[in-house]
Amino acid sequence: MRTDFRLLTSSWASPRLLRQAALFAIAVVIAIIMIFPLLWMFSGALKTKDLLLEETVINLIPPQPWQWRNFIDAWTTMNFNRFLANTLIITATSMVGGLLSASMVAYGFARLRFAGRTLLFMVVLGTMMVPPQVTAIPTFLLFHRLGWLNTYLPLIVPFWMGGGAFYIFLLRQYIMTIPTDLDDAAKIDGCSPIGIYQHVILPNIGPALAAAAIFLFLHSWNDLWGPLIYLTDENTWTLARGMLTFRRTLAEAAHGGGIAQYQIHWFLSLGAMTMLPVLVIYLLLQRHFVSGVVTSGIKG
Amino acid sequence: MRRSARTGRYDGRFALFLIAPAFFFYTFFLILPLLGTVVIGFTDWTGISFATLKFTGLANFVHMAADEFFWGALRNSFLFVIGCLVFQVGIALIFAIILESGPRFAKWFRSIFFVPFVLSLVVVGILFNFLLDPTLGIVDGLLRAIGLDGPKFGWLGTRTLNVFVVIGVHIWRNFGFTMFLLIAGLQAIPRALQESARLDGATPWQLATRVTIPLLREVLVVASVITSIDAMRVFDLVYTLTGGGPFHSSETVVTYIYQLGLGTARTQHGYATAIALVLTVIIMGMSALQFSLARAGKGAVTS
Repeated sequence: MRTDFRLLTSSWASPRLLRQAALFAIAVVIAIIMIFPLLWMFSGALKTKDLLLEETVINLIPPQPWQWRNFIDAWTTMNFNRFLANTLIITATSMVGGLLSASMVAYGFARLRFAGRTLLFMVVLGTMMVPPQVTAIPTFLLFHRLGWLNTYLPLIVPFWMGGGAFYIFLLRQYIMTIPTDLDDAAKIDGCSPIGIYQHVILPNIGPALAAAAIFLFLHSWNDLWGPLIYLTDENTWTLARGMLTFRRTLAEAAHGGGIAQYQIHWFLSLGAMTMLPVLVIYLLLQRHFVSGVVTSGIKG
Repeated sequence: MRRSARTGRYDGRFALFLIAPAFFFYTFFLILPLLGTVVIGFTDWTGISFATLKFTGLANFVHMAADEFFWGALRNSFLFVIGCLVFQVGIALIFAIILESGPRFAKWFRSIFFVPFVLSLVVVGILFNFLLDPTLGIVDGLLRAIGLDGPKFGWLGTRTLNVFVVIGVHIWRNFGFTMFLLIAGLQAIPRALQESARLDGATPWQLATRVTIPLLREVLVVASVITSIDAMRVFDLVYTLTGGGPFHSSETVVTYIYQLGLGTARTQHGYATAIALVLTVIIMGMSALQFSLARAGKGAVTS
């Protein structure tokens, strides 16, 4: 028996090593492909435009002196202070509203018994399949009639009303994993349902809330569709909408008036500035993110 | 008994309070617009005022059947779905299995693969416009360095090619997310099953195809449904990479709806809404098909 086992392992030991080395090499290549555009953006943010337009060799280190003024120049081409303020307001209020209301709705679906619960929950899940573009025209009309165009409201209010099917689902799945014994104990101690939500549910769904918070943040910070449609007044623009004005391809620039007006260095520094907070948050919170997705996204 | 009856009633009223905002939202911001979509889809509305609105029956759908741009957009959207199902889910599955088998630096790779997912699509789109530029882009520069030439009009300017490039960038951004879903699924599989298969002398390939993947089936179905819905509704990336052009060649159904009904110059609201209706039916059909295929597959495996 023992010799058999040893034979077995030794017979595929060396091909196994080889295979592992090959897999490792592939993973490294893919990792480089994943991260390269980002590294290039951060290094390009510090280069002069002339260098960027001449450079065809891959060079991830900007030449001395580093062109720090790109950041200031780019920031002042348009009213990016205003864009940043708009983005922060929209992101913060959407996140607070989304977390509060999605967790309450999720609590309702997970714990309380009421008529039509399953049906309503299926309806909520069904809405995940409807892309926002499908209802875009009637919704636009509705917001227009409400006088909400060029305000933050179309981008915030939906998050205060249920927060979106995905977040409800994520949080409900997580709440289902909390033992109901805890609820019962609290009930015996005289807790009302709102008390249970406050003292039992909320303190126990931290990872799921963190995961939902990250998704909510990413959505509001990066969203293009909403601002593109509802915000036509430049004063209400978000960072993403503002950066869209740099979407002029080199080919277009070459056709109409030349490459001289193609401000790639400004775009790269703006991109670096707006993505830095996102990357920092991702790196800091990724453990919560993983555990949130693992425990809630799947089991159910 | 009395206590439970009382709390049951209390539940109902309190649940109403909890669910009310969401219920209000779904009624006014989703169900009503959805009904609006159904109505407007059968009109010739051009969005100036309701006075000009006329019901035209199936005229929009007849028009659609003869609209080559619509068919082109539909073809591109289906290419998107198929490309993502094969490659995004495929690559994600391969790396989920490899990284879960516990090689060195697995956590690092996992984090790096996910990074593009957190980036704004505006940034990704414009960044890749530059990286893929035929004269100045780094991709073509690399190709030239080894004596090859990129496509003459650029990766994004060549008509039959640009859709595939956009799909590639979409996969680049999203496969990390799919991989996370699958890793989560893998972690839920009892280790003992894989261990015993390994002790029975199963090769890693057999282990993956005979043990791991069948056990992962439910999560794979969820991942496939999410992936294909995402692929069907892709907008930001196409809009920032190519804008649907040149000459509608990389248009998807959603960007075409935007062009017709919401872009600055276009006001064909009725027609755009009719296309949105068709899109809804396609997405629901697609999801139903995937779930029922999964159920059929389950029967085949267990019987």
